[in-house]
Amino acid sequence: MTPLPADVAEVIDGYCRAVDAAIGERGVDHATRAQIADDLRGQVHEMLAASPGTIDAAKARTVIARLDAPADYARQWAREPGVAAAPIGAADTRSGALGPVALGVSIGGFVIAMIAVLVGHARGAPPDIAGMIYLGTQLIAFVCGLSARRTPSGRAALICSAILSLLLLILVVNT
Amino acid sequence: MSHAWTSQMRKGVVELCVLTLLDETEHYGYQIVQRLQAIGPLALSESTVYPVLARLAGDGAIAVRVEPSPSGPPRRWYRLTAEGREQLRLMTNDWHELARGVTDLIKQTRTARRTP
Repeated sequence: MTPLPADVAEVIDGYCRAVDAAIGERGVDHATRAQIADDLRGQVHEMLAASPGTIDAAKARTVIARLDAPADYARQWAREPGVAAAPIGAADTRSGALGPVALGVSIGGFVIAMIAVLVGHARGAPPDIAGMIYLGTQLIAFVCGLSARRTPSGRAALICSAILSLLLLILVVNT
Repeated sequence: MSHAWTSQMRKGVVELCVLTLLDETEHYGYQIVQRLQAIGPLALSESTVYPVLARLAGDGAIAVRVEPSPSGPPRRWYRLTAEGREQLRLMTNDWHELARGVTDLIKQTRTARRTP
């Protein structure tokens, strides 16, 4: 394949970037956006190769003018069943980040509460603060995990915080 | 035919159309767009087809193979998986039942209108 002139490549890249930005605003994950951009880039190249004459930036713009506008992709994404809420094959960026945070808060809260219990025990203090840390962090982790329940780490945080909260409840009931 | 009705109908059948094409043989993205654009009343374009292809790939109904192309960047070849074939079978059954039901209804109402 002969590489395209730089100005033609720039026109194509500009269009693909605009589509990428339009669907990115809908919360579509990077891998899916890259997949769509690859298909689209391939289509533009094929359309250019099929058109007679020299390939230049003006021809690239003419070909692109025949394609759907970036806003059409954004509208399509809003209509895709379940896609706006849960992008294809992966969680959206916010849920993706929230899951590990929730898991970290759950486990971190457990560790900090245990340290607080040990330190408090050594100083002869009642374990109230440790209990508050424990319950508070598990509650935060549970809410965050619930928000990120579509991701594996979000589900793990949900289960982890639920089990740890249950353990505390059993401990409180038994004492 | 109103635009809104066509749009709703298109949305409902695009997945079935894509799976049916891929049941025939593997296709790359632009080939699928070209084939589906040729279905006059549907007039499916790339902004409809590519998101559906991405979703079906994410769902495991279709698999992707990337191969160099003589006319540009590497082509993404899509093919049906066993899961996709089963999904297509169920969707095709639903489609036939729906089409039969609607056709029967239209026939019945027309016959009832003609008989005084």
